[in-house]
Amino acid sequence: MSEAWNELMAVWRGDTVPGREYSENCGKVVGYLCDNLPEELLIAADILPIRVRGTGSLDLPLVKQFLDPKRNSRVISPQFVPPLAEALMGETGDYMDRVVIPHTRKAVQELNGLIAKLRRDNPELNVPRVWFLDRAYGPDSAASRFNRNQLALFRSQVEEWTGEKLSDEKISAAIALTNEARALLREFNAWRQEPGSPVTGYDAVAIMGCSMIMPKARFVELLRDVLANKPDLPAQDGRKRLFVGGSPFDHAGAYEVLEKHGAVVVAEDHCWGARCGDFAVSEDGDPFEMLAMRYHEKPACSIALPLERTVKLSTDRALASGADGAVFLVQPGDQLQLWETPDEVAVLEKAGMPVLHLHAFPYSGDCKPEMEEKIASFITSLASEGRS
Amino acid sequence: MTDKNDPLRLQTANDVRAYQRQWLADARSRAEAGEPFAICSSDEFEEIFSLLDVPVLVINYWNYLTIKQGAAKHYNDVLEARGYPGPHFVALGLATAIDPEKAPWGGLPKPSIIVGSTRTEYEMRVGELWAREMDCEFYVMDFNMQSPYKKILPEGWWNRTADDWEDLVDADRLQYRIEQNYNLIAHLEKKFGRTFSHADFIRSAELENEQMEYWEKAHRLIARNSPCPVSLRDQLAMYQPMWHRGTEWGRDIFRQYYEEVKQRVADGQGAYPVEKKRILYWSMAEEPAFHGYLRETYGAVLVGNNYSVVPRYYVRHFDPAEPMRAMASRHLFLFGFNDNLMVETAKDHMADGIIVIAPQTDDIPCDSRRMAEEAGIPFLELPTTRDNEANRAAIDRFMTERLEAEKL
Ligand code: SF4
Ligand code: SF4
Repeated sequence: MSEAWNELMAVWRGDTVPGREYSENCGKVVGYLCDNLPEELLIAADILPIRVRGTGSLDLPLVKQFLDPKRNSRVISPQFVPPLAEALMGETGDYMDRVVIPHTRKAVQELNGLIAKLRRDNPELNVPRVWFLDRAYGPDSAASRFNRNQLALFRSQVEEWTGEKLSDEKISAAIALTNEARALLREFNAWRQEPGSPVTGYDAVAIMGCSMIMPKARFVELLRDVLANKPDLPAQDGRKRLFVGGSPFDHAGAYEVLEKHGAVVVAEDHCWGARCGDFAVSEDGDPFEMLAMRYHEKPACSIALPLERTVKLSTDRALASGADGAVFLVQPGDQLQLWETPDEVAVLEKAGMPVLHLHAFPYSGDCKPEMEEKIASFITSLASEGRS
Repeated sequence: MTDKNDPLRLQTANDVRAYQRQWLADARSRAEAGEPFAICSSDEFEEIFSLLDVPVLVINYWNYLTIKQGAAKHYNDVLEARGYPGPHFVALGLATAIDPEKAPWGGLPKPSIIVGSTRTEYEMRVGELWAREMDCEFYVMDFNMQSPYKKILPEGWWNRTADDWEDLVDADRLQYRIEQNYNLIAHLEKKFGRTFSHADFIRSAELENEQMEYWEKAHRLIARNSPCPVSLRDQLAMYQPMWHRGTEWGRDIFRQYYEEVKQRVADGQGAYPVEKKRILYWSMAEEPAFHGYLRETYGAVLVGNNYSVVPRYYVRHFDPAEPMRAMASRHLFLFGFNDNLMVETAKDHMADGIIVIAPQTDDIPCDSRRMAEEAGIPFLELPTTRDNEANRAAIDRFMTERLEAEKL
């Protein structure tokens, strides 16, 4: 087994925590939520960006103790959000100097005010200070100007944190690095989707997730190594190939349920999956302006306007993946996904892809036996295209 | 209560109802005759549509009419059949478009435009789906009063909305919202072939301030007088003219309201036959069904709710050179609710206790309760607005043990 592979898996499982190590070696660590942070600005400043994730569990003692769900119902509502708050109040927030909250979903944005209040009332929690990185959803030029200005503010903030101006050279170098990571991620995703590939959905989400929770340069090194010396793993043939749509999963619990029943997840559309290889930053032109352009053009969360654009981005992924079927896992309280999924289901069904649409699939993946039964029989019912 | 014969009922509230009925009928027939007709999110663009003489239906209001029609269950089923399970207040309009038969008016005529907002990202999606269903334009406005702020609001913000509104919003969002507002106006002018007049806009902003100031003055009288001169039901009925902000009628009806309340106070006329205990109902929900039980059993009356404190937040004093700045600031921040405001409002209303609607979770520390009790105001949470056994039992305990009330 490749050492690079093992190192990545250890990071994903949390056996090693690069963010903590970096911080213990006196480096600055900035946490962030969601998938649209221009991390290049942090990397250029020698700050380690670490995306905050939950543990996969819905047992959340700190949330229970400090956040009254009735008064914070907007935060509490999509199930994947409270675990983020738990992480920030607990061990993850502990090693972060700051956390950046972007303008994606309201529930995530609400954490801004909530954390300010937690910091004020419970200093013993050591929750990091927040920087709110704003963004307009709109596609027009006024929105693009607004978004660029927000990024400029963020840039000055980063410069203030380190006490040093960011040079274009450093930003360009950071862009080259993250673009390389994206290219490798796309290559990895293609390998994952090859017939008979040994990469499971669990492996895929782990490797892609690592790109956001460890130093980028090290990640690039390791993934390059993995792709050059593909580990000797059992081929996943004979398994039904699945596309997973719906809510985000920052851990692999949901995939484990699907794969336990004879499937292999070959593609997904959520912000901890293959999307992280998309939208390279243009390397022609002023590096800051190019970053700003990407920041504006990449939909916040999956919230693109019009709806058709979101649906197309998602269903194209499913159709290009060679999946035998699609499963939509919508978490309780995920109101956004609720209104998008039926359109996505309709497109796939029209294209002849069998679909299972599950409402109220738990964030933890720990589903009720009836639901698991449904999953199992859906997977069994899929005609395997005989791909091996 | 039978409306007309009830001497305790406010004449102005009846006038509002009658006007609103007529307005709806007119709007409908104009739209059916092919005139422009718009749907928009509440508290965003009503004034502009009025200025362009385009009847505008507010989304929440339509959803509320649908509920009043008794069709909420049916429409949730309609949504469920489309793959959207769950109860959905924000999407009832969409549902009435999918299946108009049981809707108010037998369904809406085709709007020219739906102006939606990103108050929540799903409201944006619902607006989009609705426009698709009705085959009309969808236009979305970003940043609004429910966008979580970058700036954390200062305590006491509630005394600063009229003059210091600039301080309560994020400067860059304000600039962007002003730009969006002007873009939408330009779009509507072109779409409807009408002209937006700055002079009229200023006049409308002045009328709106006057309207809200009358409302606030009326409410001061309600809060500070016992017996309470206006029932909660009539107080809530006065919310409907909100959809006619910035018009002569809007201003005049509130002047009439204020005069009527003043007269009642002078006459010592209360809105409830008995008033032994005053309760602040700190909720945005409808008048609760248990109010009847409270009144009849204990002579306890609801003297105000969250909406009672809202009118004054609409008032925005502005520089005539820049009325849009004030309006955009209101689009970004209208009001919030917090525990200090609740306590202050309860004291202001001379309330003996506070009732809120919230699911009970005893194991969670409860800030509102703590703050109310620290201020010496007994506090009760009820899980629903229903008049059922469980609520009655909780009310009995609260009234007798905490408020030392006796049964009538
Ligand atoms: S789905 Fe959107 S809001 Fe949720 S974590 Fe992903 S990017 Fe953030
Ligand atoms: S538990 Fe406390 S804080 Fe929460 S709603 Fe009830 S009273 Fe308010």
